[in-house]
Amino acid sequence: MALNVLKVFSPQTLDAVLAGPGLSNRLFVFTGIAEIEFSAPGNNKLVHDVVELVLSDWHGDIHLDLENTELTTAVWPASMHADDDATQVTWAVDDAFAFVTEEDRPKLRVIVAVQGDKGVLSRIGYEVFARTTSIPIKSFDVREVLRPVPELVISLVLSQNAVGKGEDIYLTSLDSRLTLPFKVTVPAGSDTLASAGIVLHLESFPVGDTLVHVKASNAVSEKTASTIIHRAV
Amino acid sequence: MADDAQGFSIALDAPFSGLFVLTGVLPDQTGFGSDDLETFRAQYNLSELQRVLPRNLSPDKTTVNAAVGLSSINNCDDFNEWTFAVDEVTHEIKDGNLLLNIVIAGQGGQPDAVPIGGTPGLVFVGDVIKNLAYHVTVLTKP
Repeated sequence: MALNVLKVFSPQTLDAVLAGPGLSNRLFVFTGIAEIEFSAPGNNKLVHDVVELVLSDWHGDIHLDLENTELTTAVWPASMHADDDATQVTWAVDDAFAFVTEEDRPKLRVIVAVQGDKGVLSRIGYEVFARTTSIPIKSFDVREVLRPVPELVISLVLSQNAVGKGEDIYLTSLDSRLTLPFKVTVPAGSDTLASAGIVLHLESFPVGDTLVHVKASNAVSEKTASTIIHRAV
Repeated sequence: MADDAQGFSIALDAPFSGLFVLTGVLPDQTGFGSDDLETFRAQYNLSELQRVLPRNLSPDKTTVNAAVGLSSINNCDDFNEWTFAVDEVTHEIKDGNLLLNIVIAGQGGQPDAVPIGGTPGLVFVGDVIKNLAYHVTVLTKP
């Protein structure tokens, strides 16, 4: 079980457009100070543990493509403490690396160590660089289609053709009655999501008209669309 | 753990050719440290640590930005004064390789640590400052 990150102070995100040759079109830089309060046992023993920080939790719920992202990271002790009763004191970041999870969320994994009476490694500073490819969403729309079966039809156009293994677009709705897929993918070589029909469970909605909002997002853009869900008597 | 070099390159349009983002933990080197404040200059060949970096860098066509911080530090309570510091970070390009020069300072250490080269009062760097975390960006022109 990894140590919990209690809080991140000053999470900062820099999103730079890469306009040069090559497929990569974005460079993200994530920095911050993570509070971990990693305490040493009172027997002067050197102990190690793992800290995991899901960067998406603190940097705008960003999603990065698992296949098209490379990451590098630097992590260092930022705040530490010990008592002079200690025979030996140690504060250490022994290893650090970042990766993209199966859920397309960048995660930082750090191995830390501490030693000494009342020894605490309270905070660690981090800097993560991510080179990725992500195409902005140009337009996004949703509409209800009642026949042959009630569906929510999504129309989405990117600002240029998707590359690599396609462009993942994440869908969210604040209305819990609307069940959406976690993501849809615009195939590589195309800029359009041809037709994505999502089955509507009309029994979840009241009779009459209900306004719903749907958000489509990827690492570099976000669009919101609204439509009326109509349930007949 | 050390020497976990991570890096990637970004192709750039003219007048540049590439941007290299390099991070990692520098491995232990030789030692220093005593009851008095000691400084030590460590040199690392980043071109050897980072395979993504071209091996034929030209000083006239390369811009380097380097930052180094303390990653792992240790001491014992037999010393009244403790110091852990990165005092200076510079770079040079020699024979196409990028060399990182780091001046670190330490005070205190383990009394029974093995002296380096038989010099009394000097201890292994790992006893005071073990690992250093670095972040280096390299901008190249064709």
